[in-house]
Amino acid sequence: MSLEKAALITAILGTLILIFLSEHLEPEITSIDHITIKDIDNYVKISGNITYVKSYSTSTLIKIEDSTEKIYAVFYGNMNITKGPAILTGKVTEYNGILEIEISRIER
Amino acid sequence: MIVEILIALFVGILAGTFTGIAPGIHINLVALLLLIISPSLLQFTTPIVLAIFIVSMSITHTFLDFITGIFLGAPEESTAMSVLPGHQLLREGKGYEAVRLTTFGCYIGLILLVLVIPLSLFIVPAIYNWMKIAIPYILILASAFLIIKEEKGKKFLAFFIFMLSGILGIAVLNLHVITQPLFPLLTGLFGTSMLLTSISQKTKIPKQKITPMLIEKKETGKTIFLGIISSAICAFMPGLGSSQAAVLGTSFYKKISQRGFLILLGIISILVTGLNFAALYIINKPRSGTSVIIGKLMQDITLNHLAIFCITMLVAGSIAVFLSGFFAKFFARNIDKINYSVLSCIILVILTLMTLILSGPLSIIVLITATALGIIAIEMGIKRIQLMGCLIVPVILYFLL
Repeated sequence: MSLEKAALITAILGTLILIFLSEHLEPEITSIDHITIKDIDNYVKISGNITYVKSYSTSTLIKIEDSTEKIYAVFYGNMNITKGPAILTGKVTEYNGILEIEISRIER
Repeated sequence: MIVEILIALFVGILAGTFTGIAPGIHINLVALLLLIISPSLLQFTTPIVLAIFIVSMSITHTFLDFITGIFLGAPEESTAMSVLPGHQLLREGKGYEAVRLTTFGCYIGLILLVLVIPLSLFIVPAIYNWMKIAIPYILILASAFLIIKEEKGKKFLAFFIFMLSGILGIAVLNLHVITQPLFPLLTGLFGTSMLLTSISQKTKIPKQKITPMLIEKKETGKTIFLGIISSAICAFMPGLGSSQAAVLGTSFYKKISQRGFLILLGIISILVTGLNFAALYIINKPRSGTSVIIGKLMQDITLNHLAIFCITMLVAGSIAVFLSGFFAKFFARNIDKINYSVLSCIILVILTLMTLILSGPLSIIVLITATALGIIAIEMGIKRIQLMGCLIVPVILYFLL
């Protein structure tokens, strides 16, 4: 088999595996007090209680608390988010010197 | 205070020299480390001193980072595009000249930066929202143009590689369990693929000549013009880095020479690095890992701070011109004395270890896949700029969806 063919098969197969993994693998649930500036740009998953929701024209800001700490999270786009228990996945970012989560997924 | 500032400036230059010439060490790592130890440091000094250290380190790093990209084939996002034309010149014995071209570009970029920042203060807030709407369409046009520019018979393959890179980029950026996902992706596409090809072809690096750079004045003028345009578009857009700026820059102009391209990359890299810091003040948003950290260290950035950053960049950049010349000469004089295949193997091991340490075991799949895709582009004679689909396609989707 030529080098090109081997590389082509590896590239296609590898991309398919990565698509599968990106659909099925998620970060493990972490407690809010464990999220630090070292996690900026990394994805985290937290389980807690949404205690505050404020909708804007292009985003929704929420506050989520677990037994250890509370953190703000923002969702860009339209989604009807209500107060109550939720599992939230998102990227850790920093806004005005405070850590917050850019939500990519919410499970109830 | 002035003594502290000078110390921060020179320590920053030293740190930037180290991160620049050591393959695989990203500047964000050092800045992050600084942020972690900053509570202790802030007992002795002020946030602005630490910020000066980061600015000085970033600018020096940007100048020197091209050396490893060109001589060792170990690129980062900002220098990934320099590997191909730089490596070609290296194989002609002109690696030193290639570095001088990027350094020349960096220095022009530095001067432009000081001119562009005051203009941006007025122009950018006015057109920011308009640019947000236009950017995906500009990127689609630029990518289409680059595919059309491929040789006859290779256009479809170029499109295929661009799209496969794009799908790979989307998958990797959505793989939330790995940290720093761009590291294995770009290392594979532009670094390890080239190193493996060099090893398999038993590439011998010829004796390097220390020659001055050869480029026509007219070409330099065009390159500077392109650098300004593409940086202006990219500097304040979220999600766009210097490599996308390079794609835009080259697509505007049909026939840019290898040498012109290297100068262009130098200009763009410095402009994007510098404007990332300026964006902290102008649009109040951090645009890069290091500027996030400055934003974190300094709660409020004023016009005075911006002026201090500009002076820091000018001083650090001017010193980096000499440092870059010194290290380029050192590499040029010694690269033919060592077995390039052995050196490539060592760098391959370092990059694989860095991938494991930075991004975790799963990232090895990303590295292997990206390497395979990079090899296809090299073996099939497709311009490797098509591999930038890995960043361009996700950015287009980010803006359109």
